[in-house]
Parts: sequence; C-alpha cells; structure tokens
Amino acid sequence: MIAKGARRLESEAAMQALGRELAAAAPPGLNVLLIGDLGAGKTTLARGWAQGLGVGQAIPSPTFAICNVYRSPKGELHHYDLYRLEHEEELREIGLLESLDGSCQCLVEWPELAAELFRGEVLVIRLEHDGEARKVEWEMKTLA
Amino acid sequence: MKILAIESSCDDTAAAVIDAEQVLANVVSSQPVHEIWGGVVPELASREHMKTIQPVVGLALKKAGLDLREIEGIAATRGPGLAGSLLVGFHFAKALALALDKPFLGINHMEGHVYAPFISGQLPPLPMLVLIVSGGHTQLIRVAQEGRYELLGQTLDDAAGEAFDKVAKLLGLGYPGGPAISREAASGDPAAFAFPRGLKGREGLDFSYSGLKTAVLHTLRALSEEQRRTRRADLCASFEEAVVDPLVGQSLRAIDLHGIRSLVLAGGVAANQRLRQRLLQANQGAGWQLVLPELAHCTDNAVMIARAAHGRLLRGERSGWDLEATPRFSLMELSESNP
Repeated sequence: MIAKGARRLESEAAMQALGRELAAAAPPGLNVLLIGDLGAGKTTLARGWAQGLGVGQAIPSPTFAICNVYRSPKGELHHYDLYRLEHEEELREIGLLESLDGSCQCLVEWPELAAELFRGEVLVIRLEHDGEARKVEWEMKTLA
Repeated sequence: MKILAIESSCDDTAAAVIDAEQVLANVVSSQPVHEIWGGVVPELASREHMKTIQPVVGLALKKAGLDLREIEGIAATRGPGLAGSLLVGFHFAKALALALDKPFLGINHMEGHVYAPFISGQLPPLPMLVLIVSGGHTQLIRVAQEGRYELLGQTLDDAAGEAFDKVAKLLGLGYPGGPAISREAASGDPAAFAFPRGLKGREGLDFSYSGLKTAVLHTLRALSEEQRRTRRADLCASFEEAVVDPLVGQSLRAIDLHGIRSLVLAGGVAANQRLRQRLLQANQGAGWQLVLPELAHCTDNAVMIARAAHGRLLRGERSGWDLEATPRFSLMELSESNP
C-alpha cells in the first residue's frame, strides 16, 4: 500500500490510523516529507506513525523543539518540524543531514526549505483541508 | 552566597547576580530581530547570543558592583531549549567557572521557572502543584519534596504558547502571539465563538490544543475578509478562553486528586492576564495557596536560574566539567539523577 495511495479522512483518529498503517509498511531508514498547511494533520499523522513503530510515550508537536527523537523497537524515529526555520544553513546546524542518512526513520514537517537535501527513496505525503475532513495523498519517489 | 547565573535557552541572553535573597543585577537582552521573523529563529538566536553574551554578563557584574573574583558560584541553564542557544551560555559559564576556579552548576530551565516567584528560595506549603505554560511546555507537575518532580499531566500535541503563536499568525497578528491576542481579546466577548476545549470529558490531567488551532482555522475560513477584521476581538477573546479553561479546570482537578496545598503558575504564558484572573477567582475561599509570579519574572531571565541554583550550591552540589547542555531535559529526569 505504501507505493502510492490516496484517502479522505473524516477524523483525527482516522488520520492516526493511517499513520500507523503507513509505518507498518515502511522500510527502515525511510525519509518522509509531510506537506500541508497549518492544521492539515501533519503532526497527527506523525503521531500515528510513531505509535505504529511502538513508541509508547507522548508525541507532542515538534514546532518548538524543531526535532524530537524517539526510540522504538524498530529503531530510532526523528520527528522534525522546519516551520520556524528561515535559512538553509540552519538545516545543517540542527543536524537534519545526519538524520536523513538512512540510519533512522525521519519524518519532516514543513520540508520545503530542505527540498535539496532529500536523496534516494522518499515517501511524499500531501495533506489538504477538505471542508472539515482531510485529503491525504502519498507516493514513494526516487530523488536524484 | 554571591551567584552569577546565565540563561540562554531560547531567544533571550540573560545574566543575573544574586547575593542570597537580594537581587544585585538582572540583565535581559531581548532580541527584537525575531519580531521580524514571526517566531524564534534558532540560527539567528545562537548568533545573537554569541554577540551579546559577553556584554550582558559584563553589564550584570557592573550593575552588581562586583568583580568576577568576588563571585562565589556560577550557574547556567543546561536545558531544555534550543541546542545552539543553550551551548553559548552554558559553555561560557562553564569556562568562566573553570578559569576562576569557582563552583559550577548546570540548572534545568523549568526548575528556574518553578523558583522564579520565590525570592527567599523558600517554597510554599508542599505538596505543591506547578502549572508550567510556555511556548514549548504545558505541564502539571507535583512537588511533594524539594527537588523531586512528578509529572501529572501534559499536552498531548501543541503547547499553549504555541497555540497562541500559531493562531496569532492565522489572524495576521504579531509575534509573540500571546500579548498580541490578549490585547485584542480585552475588548472581545469570550463566548462569541464556541471553540472546543481540548480533552473535556476525558479522564486524566493532560491537555490538547491542536484541535483548537484547527477550529480557529475553520472558523476564519467561513468568515469574510471584513468579518475577520470586525470580529477579531471576539475571535481572540473566545480563543483565549478556550486556552485558559482547560488550564484552570485541570489544575483544580489535580488539586482535588493529589492533596495539593499550593499552586504555582510558571512559564511565559503565566503573564496572561485572563489566566491569572481566572486562577484568582478559583482561589477565592479555597484551602490552597496561589502563587502568581510577578510579570517581570514570567519571561526567561537569569534571576530564576540563580534562585534554583542557590539552595543546591549551598548544599554543596556541583556539576562536573564534563557536563553537557541537553536540549531535551525534563524536570522528571532531574529527580531521577538526584535520588
């Protein structure tokens, strides 16, 4: 299911369930781009993803901390939010390059600023408001 | 004991000198550059810290009328915070202590917030409940014994301060979002819009603000350009009430459930007038003591770091020279490392 798909989700619970589902199918070391507006459900999906990997603790928004790291039975998960960053050079300072090297799974919210840094197989997830519901589309892509 | 403390966990570079209960100097260099960016930008922050740390510490010593050699202990924020920012203040302080051969102590920033209101370093009756509300945290913490922290509840998604900042951005108001929204809210009707209250009706003492942010977004989309302007005060007041309601409600629940004798409000959002007012109301005739920090002590400052360090330094606690700053550093870990 992970290669490509689309779904319309009516609730936060459904968004988390999709996160768990995708996590279960994701290969180790996968980098994931979460693209969508404020309130589109990026963090909610990421929360489901972390739960899917077996992370037991709370999974808060990474907006303030920029990156939260979780240990799971399936390896480390790095959860980034680049919302507050403005300059590309900041990406190096926060250690994003090291997180993207395949040593851990890496979920990146607001990844636009880092577009150039993603290489190889990535999962691109787009989230959109659709009235009260959300539309989610995902696709595995290979970036040169 | 004369203590020099340095705080640089986010966007303010701060230094303070205290002598026991007396504050000799309190210098905070806010970084207005962030007002342009609509949020704290980490890279800018660490660069600014490097530029300002030396003048800020120098000014604090000058105001205190002390020479570095007269300082008897040096403390610095060890975490939590932004890695690049923390490193600057923490290592500056450590190097200073090493060079001058003074006792050094790394302090948890949140413990600083806990001690901020207590000039004497003397805590109110225990068990005490601390409601920490800031840009990165929304937590209820129980303190039954000094230096030991028990997490009762926390946000499951966005922090309350983050909700203020993001909703301010949606509304086209400035940064930081809290003061901007509160100013508008003062002339608005808190019941004008029915925004959701996080985890209302659920068990436990946690918080949730992500749904509130989304509800504001949907409400805005349904309004015309003109309505967004004319109803801005009502939007702000209703949003603020939806943030404050669960903070007060969960605190009161925690007080009932955990035999609490005092409630301390801490963190940047502690400056919020509506929250203070609602807690004062709830405290009327109640059997617990309410401690609200002075407005000047709500934002990040180094006096609170000095106060948190004071008791520990007096007890002979020291940090090793190999201690590192830790961006993720909860108060609960602090209890584990000090059994």
